[in-house]
Amino acid sequence: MADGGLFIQHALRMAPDDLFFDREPEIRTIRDVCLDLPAVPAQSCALIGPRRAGTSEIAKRIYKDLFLNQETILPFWYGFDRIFQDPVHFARDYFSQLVRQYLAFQEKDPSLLLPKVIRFEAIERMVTKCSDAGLHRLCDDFEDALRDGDRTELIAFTLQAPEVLAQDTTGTACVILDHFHRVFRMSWPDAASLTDLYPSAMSSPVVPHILTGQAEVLQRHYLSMESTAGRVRRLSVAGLDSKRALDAFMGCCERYEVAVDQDAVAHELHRFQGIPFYMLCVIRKARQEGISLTRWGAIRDVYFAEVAQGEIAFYYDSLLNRCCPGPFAKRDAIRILSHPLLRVGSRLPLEDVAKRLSLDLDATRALVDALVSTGLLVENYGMMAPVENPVFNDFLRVAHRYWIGRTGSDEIRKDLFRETQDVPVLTELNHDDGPGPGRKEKQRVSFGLVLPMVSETELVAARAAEQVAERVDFSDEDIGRIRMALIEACINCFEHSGSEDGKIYITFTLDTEKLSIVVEDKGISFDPKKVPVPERGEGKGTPSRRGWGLELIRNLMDQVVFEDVPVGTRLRMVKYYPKDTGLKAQAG
Amino acid sequence: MGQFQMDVKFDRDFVIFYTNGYINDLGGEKIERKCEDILREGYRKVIVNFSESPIINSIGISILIGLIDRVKRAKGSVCFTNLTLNNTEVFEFMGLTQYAPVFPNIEEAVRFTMGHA
Repeated sequence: MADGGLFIQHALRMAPDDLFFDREPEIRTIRDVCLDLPAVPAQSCALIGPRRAGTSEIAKRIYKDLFLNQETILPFWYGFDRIFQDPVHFARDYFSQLVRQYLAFQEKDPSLLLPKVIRFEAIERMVTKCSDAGLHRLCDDFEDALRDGDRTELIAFTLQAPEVLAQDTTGTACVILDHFHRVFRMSWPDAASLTDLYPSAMSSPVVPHILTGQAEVLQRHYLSMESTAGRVRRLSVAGLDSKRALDAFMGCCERYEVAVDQDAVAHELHRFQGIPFYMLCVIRKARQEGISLTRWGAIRDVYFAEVAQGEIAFYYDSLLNRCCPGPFAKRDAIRILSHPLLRVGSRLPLEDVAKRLSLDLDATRALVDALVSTGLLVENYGMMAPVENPVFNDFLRVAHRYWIGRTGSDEIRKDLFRETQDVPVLTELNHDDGPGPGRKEKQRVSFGLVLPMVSETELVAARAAEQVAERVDFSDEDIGRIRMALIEACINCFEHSGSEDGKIYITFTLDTEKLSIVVEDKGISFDPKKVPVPERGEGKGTPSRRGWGLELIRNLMDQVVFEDVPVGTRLRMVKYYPKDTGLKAQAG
Repeated sequence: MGQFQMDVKFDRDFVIFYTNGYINDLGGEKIERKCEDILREGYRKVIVNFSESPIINSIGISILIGLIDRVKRAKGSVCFTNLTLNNTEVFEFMGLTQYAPVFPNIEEAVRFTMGHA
C-alpha cells in the first residue's frame, strides 16, 4: 500500500508529507473525541482555527489514516469545492463520491479515487460490476429517490447514505466535510437547504461528521443554530506551538535549501502565529530572492516584503476583494478595519464607526456584514471588534498606507521594519499570588519596561500600558486616560531630565485595587511645586501653549506623586479599578 | 501608529484637514504649516477632522492652540470633529473648546462653519 498513500494525496490534493507539520496532538484529540467507535456513540465535530491554520490538511490526514490503516470505519471525504445550482446535481455528486470511495475502501484500491471528477454513469458501471448486495440496494433506493421528484427527500436521503451504507457493511463510518462554510452559498427554491438537513445526519450514533471551514462562518451561521446544539462539538485547532513551529520552520528551510539560523528564527517566530502558510510564504520568497535567513533582520525584512507585496498580501487582498463590490468600497473597508480604536482592541458600535469616518450607514452595514462573513472582522450585538490576527493587522497597516496614505510599498516596508525594530518586550518582574486562602487579596504582578529616549517611543510605553490595563476591567475611556498620562510622563522625561543614560524606566504594578505606574529617569531632579500652572484661557485669550504635561497627568490619573530618589526623578501614577473588578488574569 | 499624514479638502469657502496618525510636535507642525498656507491662499474657515488620530499629546495640542490663535487673528474660525472621548475631555480641560468648538461628525462641523459669517 506504499503507493496507496500517494493516490489519496493526489485525490484529496494534500500537501506533500515533508511539508505537513507535526499535528499529532490535534489528530489524537480528534480521534479520541470522534473516532472511538463503536465503543462510544459518535460525536460530530467542527475544527475551529485561525485562517490558514491547516484544519483541512488535518482532516485529510485523518481520512488517509482511516483509509489505509483500519477496516471497521468507512471513511468518506467530501469537499465543497463547487457550488451547485440544482439540488439533483449536488445529490448525484455527493452520492457518486460516496460510492466510489466505498468501493476503493472495500477493495483496498485507492487508485479508484482518481480522477477526481468522474461522471455519474461511470460510477453506475462500477456498481454493476460489483456484487455487494448492500451497495446495490442503496443505489436502487437512490435511483427511486431521483425518480420520485421530491428534492428535499432526495437530499435528505443522500446525506443519510453514508450511515445506511455503513450499517449494511462496516458498521460505522466517518464523514469528513471540507470547506463546509460553502454550503451557505447553496440554497435552492425547490428543496430544503443543506444547513437544515445536515444536523439530522450529524446526530447519527455510528457516523461522526468532521467539519472544516471558515471558523467565523461556521460559528456564526451553523454551530449557533438550535438544531446543531449538542450535536456538533467545537474542537479548537490553534497555530503550532513555538517548539513545533520552530521545527517546522527549520524543516521547511531545509526542504527549500534556504540557509537559516535557529536563534534568528526563534527571535522572529512570534510573527507567524504558528501558522504554516505564513512561514512557507516567507521561506519560498527567501528561496526565490536568494536570501539567507541567518539574521533575524533578514527574516523580518522578507516577512514585511511578503505582507506588502507577496503571497500573504495577495491572499488578504483577494479576501478584501471578495467583500467589496468596487474600489471605493475597498477603500472604505480598509478605513473601517484600520480604525485606530479598533486597532487598539476597542469594541465599537457600527453607527459610531460610520459617523466617525463620515460613511453612509447602510453601505457601512453591508460592508461590515461582508467583512464579518469573510472572517476579517468580528461583530456581536451590533458591536464591532478586530479579529485577533497580527499578520492581517500588518497587512492592513500596509494597505492603509498604500491606498489611503498613498505611500510607496518599498517605503512602507522600510517604515514597518523601523517601527518594529526597537519595540522592547514587557518583562514580568515579579508575580506574588500569595499562599492558600488569602491568595486573591495578595495577588500582585509587576512588569518592567526600559525605553530609549528617542522620538515617539512614548507610543511604545502607551501600547504597553494598554496591554497591562487590559488585564483589568478598565473602561476604554480609562485606558485612554492612562495611555495619555503615560505619554505625557515620558515626554516630560525626554524634555527635562537631561539624563546621560538616555533611558526611561517604567514599572507597571497591578494589585487588587489599582494599577500603579512608576516612570523614572536618571537625570536632573526637579521640584514639582515650582512648576507653574498653565492658564486655561477662560475668556482671557487662548490657553497657555506650554507646560500642560504635569497638569494633564494630575487630571487624568487618580493619584500622582513624585517620590524622592537619590538621582533623577521618579513619578508614581495610580489609577483605581472600577468598582467590583480586580486583577482578572494571571501573568504570563 | 506610524508617520503622521494629512489630507486637505477644499470645499466652498472652507478647508477640511483630515489628520492621520499621532499628533506630536512633528504632526502638529505639519498642521500648522498647512494652516499658514491656506490662510495665505485666502481661506479663513478651518475644520480639523481627527477621526484617524486617536492620540494627541500636549505638545501637539499646544501647536493647535497656536493654530487657533493664528486663525482668530486672521478673523477666521476653527472647529474640530471626530475627536475621541479622551481627547474631547482633554481639550475641554485645557479650555480649547471655548475658542474652537468640537463636533461629533463632519456634517455638523460643516453646518456650523457654513453658518459662520
